[in-house]
Amino acid sequence: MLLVLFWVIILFINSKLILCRFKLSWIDWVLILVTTAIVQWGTPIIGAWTNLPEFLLVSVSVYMATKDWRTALVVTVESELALSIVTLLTLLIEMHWHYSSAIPVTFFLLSLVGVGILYGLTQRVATPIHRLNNVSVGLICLAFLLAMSYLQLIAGQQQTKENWLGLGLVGTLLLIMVALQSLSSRNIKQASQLKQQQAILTSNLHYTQAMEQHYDELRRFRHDYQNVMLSLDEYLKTDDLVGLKHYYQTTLMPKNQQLAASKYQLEDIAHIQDKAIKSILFNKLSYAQNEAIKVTLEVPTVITAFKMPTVDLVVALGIILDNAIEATDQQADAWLHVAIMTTPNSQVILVKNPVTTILPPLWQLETDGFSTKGDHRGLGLSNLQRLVDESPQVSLATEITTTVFSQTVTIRLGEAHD
Amino acid sequence: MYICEDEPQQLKSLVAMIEKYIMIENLDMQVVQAVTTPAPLLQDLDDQHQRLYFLDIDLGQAMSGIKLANRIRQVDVNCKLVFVTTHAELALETLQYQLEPLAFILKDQPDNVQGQVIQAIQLAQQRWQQASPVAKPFLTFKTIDQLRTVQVAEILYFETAKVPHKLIVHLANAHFEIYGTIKTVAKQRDEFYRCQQSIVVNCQHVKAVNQQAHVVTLSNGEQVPCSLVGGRGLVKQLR
Repeated sequence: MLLVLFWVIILFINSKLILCRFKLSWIDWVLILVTTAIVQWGTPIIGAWTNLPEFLLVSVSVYMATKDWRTALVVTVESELALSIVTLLTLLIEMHWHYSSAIPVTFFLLSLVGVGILYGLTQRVATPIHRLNNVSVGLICLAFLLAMSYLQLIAGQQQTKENWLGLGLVGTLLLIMVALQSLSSRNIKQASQLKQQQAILTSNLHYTQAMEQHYDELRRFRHDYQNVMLSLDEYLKTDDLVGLKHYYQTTLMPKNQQLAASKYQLEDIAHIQDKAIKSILFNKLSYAQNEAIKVTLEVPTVITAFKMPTVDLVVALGIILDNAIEATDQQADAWLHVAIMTTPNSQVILVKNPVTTILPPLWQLETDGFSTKGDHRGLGLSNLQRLVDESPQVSLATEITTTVFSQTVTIRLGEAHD
Repeated sequence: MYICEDEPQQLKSLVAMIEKYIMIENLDMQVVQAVTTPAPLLQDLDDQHQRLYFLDIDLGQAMSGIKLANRIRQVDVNCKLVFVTTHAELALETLQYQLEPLAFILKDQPDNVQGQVIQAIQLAQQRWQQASPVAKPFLTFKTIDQLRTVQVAEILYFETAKVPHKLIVHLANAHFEIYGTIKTVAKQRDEFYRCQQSIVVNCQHVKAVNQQAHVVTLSNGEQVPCSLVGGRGLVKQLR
């Protein structure tokens, strides 16, 4: 009885440890008592089926803590597995050394070791539990179930036909799940590739249209220019200095100012030869210009390629520029500065926009799901950091002053750093 | 103070303006060189003094003021640069990033030049005072392409990035990535404390330690996790 109680408590603590929590709430204690009762008095009646309610109760306790059924499932299966390993080891030790009175002690020691290992493992897990999808949850659960049934088999407790059958069934299911997973991931990949290609295509189209427009303007300008020369000639021929002055001030000056206006501020874009990067820059910046944001783009030297995966850089630039445009959108005197430069050992992309309202602290802006503009829009900054984390040669710096928000993406060139 | 301006007339008026200001305010400064070509400046470079350069961007020869500034920066990292120019457009971001000039003085507003010069000198003095090691301790970190100097008091905490040998330095309203290990960073200052595997906090900014929930609250309201042992040690250190 005591052993069973102890076993169940360890089971619950295990599941909490995987979640990096250290305390059991009163609900957990109630659940523990119920589970113990079921295991103690239920086993003689329904045999191994007591595992089922026990499993359910543990999941309920985990669900209470996380409010996420996927996590609950995975964590429960994990802790069950850990515990069955510990139980089996205890049984093995007992079989070989015949210290049956020492079972609780061995069990206790082993479970301590097991819990320690589990805790260490979960501190370093590669995929955070909250980012699981349905299929991978199923996979993990099946894999653990497979491991568990295999353990039961080698322990030689119930080497029955049904057991082998169950093992086979679980194995088949596992295979099916693996197949499904790879299929769905391939589908997703194809869809995203298609979408990206389409995006590049449309942006290329926009680029060509804009070029044509500029070309048209140039032609018109040449025409105007010839006319201006002709009229100047006329004024000079007749020595009409007063008329010339008037003509200059009323007609030529405004035209000159018009020429200097921001429409041509994107000419540096020709220095960027990577088509995807060029098109995202062009798209976002010309959109910003249409929104009456004063845009400047500086690319002092020709850049043939960026030393980071183009897809990642396109996404990163998209996030940074979208944020900047969205932030300046409502401002009266909006501007947006983009500078892309190469230094001897790096490529630097700098984006700055003005800040007019008092922003919350930076760490809040970067929290998942936080946004100054309502729900479901704040994934930008946290996604950006995640993206940058994936490339070792890229770093991101963010700074807010009272007037300017700036983000710098730095790509290291050359040899890996020590 | 070093001045390079290709127009002799403008050079003369600039020098006069600066010397007058130094005299009136009785500043501990002097004009060391006032030249029309960059060559003499380049011969006399070192990083042992606090130097303020006034450079014309358009020097009328192969070496522009920007190139000159680059050469000066390579030797004297801590010098202050002021560019004298005619076009406002030259306040470029690329220039800002690579040379960190102190100010721009626009020649085409003649009435205002004196005010701008005085402002630049005042700003330079302010910066030097802030940077003096006695006033406020600071640390220098290596990023991918720069050395970045930060006051210790500004640092909230360090955190390991997902990539080895990279750390993220968090300030109140900025963060950037540096090269280094969490171990060596923790040893750099007494007020730095490693409260968890991957986090070193600056004790000056710790507002509260919740040992039950295993979180440390910092002065900007941000919460970072701490370990069981780390939390206990942090409380001890804070006392």
